[in-house]
Amino acid sequence: MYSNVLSIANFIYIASSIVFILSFIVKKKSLDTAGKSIFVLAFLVEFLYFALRTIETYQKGYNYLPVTNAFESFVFFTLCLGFLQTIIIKKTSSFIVLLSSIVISATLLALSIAGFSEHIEPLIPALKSNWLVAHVITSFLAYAGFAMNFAASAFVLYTSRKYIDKITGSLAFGALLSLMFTAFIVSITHSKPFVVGIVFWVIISSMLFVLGFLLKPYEKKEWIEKPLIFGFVLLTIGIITGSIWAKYAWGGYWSWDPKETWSFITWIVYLINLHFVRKRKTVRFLAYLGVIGFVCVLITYLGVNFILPGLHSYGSN
Amino acid sequence: MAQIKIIIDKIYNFLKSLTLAVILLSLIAFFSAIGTIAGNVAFLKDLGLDNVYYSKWFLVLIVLFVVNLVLCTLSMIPVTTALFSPSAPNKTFKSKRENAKEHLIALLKSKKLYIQQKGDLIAAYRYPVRKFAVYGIHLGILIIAFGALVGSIWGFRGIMEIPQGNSSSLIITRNSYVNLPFAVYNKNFTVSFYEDKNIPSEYKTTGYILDNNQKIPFSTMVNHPFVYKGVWFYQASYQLNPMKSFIILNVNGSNVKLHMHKPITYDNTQFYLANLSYYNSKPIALLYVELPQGSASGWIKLGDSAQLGPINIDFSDAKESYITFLSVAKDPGSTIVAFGFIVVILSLLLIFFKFRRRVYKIENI
Repeated sequence: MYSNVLSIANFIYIASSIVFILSFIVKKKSLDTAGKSIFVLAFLVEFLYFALRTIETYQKGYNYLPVTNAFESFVFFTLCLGFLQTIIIKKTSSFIVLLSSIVISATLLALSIAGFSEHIEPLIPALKSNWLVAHVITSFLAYAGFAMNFAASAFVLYTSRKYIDKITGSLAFGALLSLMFTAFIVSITHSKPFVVGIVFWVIISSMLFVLGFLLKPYEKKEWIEKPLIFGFVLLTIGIITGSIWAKYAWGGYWSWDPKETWSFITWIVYLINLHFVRKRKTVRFLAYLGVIGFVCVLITYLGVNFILPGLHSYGSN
Repeated sequence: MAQIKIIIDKIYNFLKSLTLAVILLSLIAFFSAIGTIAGNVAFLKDLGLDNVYYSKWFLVLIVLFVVNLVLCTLSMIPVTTALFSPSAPNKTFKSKRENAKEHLIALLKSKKLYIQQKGDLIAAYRYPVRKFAVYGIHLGILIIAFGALVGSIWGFRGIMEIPQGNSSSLIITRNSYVNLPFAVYNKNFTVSFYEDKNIPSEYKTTGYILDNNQKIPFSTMVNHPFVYKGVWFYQASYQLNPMKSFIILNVNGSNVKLHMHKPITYDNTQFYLANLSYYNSKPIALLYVELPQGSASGWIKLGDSAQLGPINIDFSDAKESYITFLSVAKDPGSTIVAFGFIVVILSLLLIFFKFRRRVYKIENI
C-alpha cells in the first residue's frame, strides 16, 4: 500500500523543519542547505505519492486527477505549496522554507486525524468536465501562494515590537503548531480534537509570544509581495476558468453561489493588498491584510464546503 | 465661480482616487459576505440581504466602482506618458568618442532594450510592455462588466420543468417568466450509475425541440449543455413523477401494478409504495404491506422476493417516470465577457515581466 508514502513525505517535511530550527540555533550555513535539500526530497516523495494515486485512479478506469474530494484536495494543497516552494527554493531564505514546511506538516497531520475517506471513487456527473483540471490547479496554486504570503505576513507581525502585532503573529503560528500537536495527541489518546486544539492553541501561542522577544524585527516586503502577486494572478485565472466551467455546467458565468462569492471576496482583499503594495504602505499594514486575506481563503476553501450549502457542496464528502 | 471649480475638482479627485476604490470594493466585499450567510440568519433575511446581489443599491456600488475605475485609469495616462519621455537622468554615459550618442544607442539596442531620445537624454527600457498591464487588466474588467450588462438586459436565465412524455416552452426566471418561441419535448430522462456502485455517473434528458412542426433531436447531460438558437439548456435537476411511476409485484403468482402513494388491496392484503429509488444501480422500492396477521415495511430491490406469512412477494418490474429540470439561459453578452477574460489573463501575465527604466546623460570627456 502506497498510503505510507504520504506519511513518509510528511516525516521528511518535519525533519526539514527540525534541521532549519537547528540551523537557526547553531547558525551554520551548511545546515540551511541540508534543510532545503530535505524539503525538496519531501516534496519529491509527496509527488511520488500523488503520481501513484493518479495511476491507481486511472487503473480503476475513472480517469481523473485525484483532486476531487476533501482528502485529495488537502493533499493537493500541500503538494502545490511544496511545488511552489521548491521552484523558488534557491532564492528563498531558510525561515520562509521553514514556514512552508510547517504549514504543510500541520495540514497533513491534521488531515490524518480528520477521518476523511481515502477511497478512490468514480466522479459524480457535476465534476466530469475538462475544466476541472485547469480550475483546480490554478486555484490551488493560488492558495499555495497565499499561504506563503500569510506565513511571511504572520512572521512580520510576530517579530514586530508592537504587542498587538506580536499577539496576532503568535496566534497565527500558534494555530498552525497547535494543529500539529493536536493531531498527535488526538491520534494517541482519542480525545476531543476541538477541546485539545483550543488548549494547545492558547498554550502554544503564549509560549510563542514570549519566545518572540528573542527575534529581531523582520520588515522586508519581498516575501509578502512575491507570493501575493503570484497568488493573485493564479486566483484570477482560477476564478475565470471556474466561470467558464460554470457557463458549461450551471447556466452562466456567475451564480453568486457561496463559494463563488467568497472567492470574489478573497480576490477583492488581495486586490486591495496588491494596490497598497504599489502605494508603498508600511510592511505592517500589508502583513495585516495578508492575514485577513488568508482567513478569507480558509472560508472560501473550507467554510463554504463544510458549512454553507451551495453548488460547490459536493467537495465535502 | 472659482469656488465651484474647487469643489468640482475635489469631487473629481475623490472619484478617481484609490481611496474610493478601496472603500467601494470593501463595501461590495462586505455585503457579498453578508449575502452568503443571510439565508440562515432571520433578521438579515428580512432585510432582503440574502438576495443583495440583485438589489438596486448593490448595482449602484458596482456602477460607482466602474466610474471610479475609468477615471482612475485615465488619470494614470499622463504618468505613463511621462515615463516614456526621457527626463531626470539617473545614469551618466562617459565617452571620449565624437559619436558618443550613436555609440550608446547601438550599445543599448544590442541589449534588446527599447529606446527613447529627447535632446541629450536617452532612456532605455526593459520590457516596456509591463507598463501597459494595468491598462489591459482594467480594460478587461470593464469589458467583462459591459458584457454582464448586455447579458442582464437582453438575456435571461431560469428553470424549465418538463415531465417525461410532455413538452414545455415556459421558463421560470428569478422574478418573472419567459415563453420560448419553440418547445422542448422530454422523451426520456435517465440516471445511470457506475457498475456496482451507488454513485451516479450520468443524468441525461433526451427528446426533441419542436419548432414550427420541425423536430430537432435534443439531448443534454450535466456539463454538456444543448444549444439551440442561442438558448442554452443544462441538465440541472430531476424528480420522480409520482403520478406515472409504478412497480409490478408478483404476489403469489399474479401481477399487481402498484402506483406511488396509491394503496391497493389484494387478497386481503394492502400494499403501499412510499418511495422509489436506486441502490447500486438497481431500482429499490420502499414498500408497506399490511396483512390481517400484521404489517411489514422496508426497502426491496428489483428481482428480490419476500415471504410474508401466507404470501410471497416478488418485485418483478419497476417503471420510473421522471420530471426533468433544465436550467435555461440566453446570454448575448457571453462572447463579450469571454473576450474580457482573455484580455484580463493576457494582461495579468505581463506582471511577471520586470520593467526597468534608465535615463542616460551623455558626457564627453
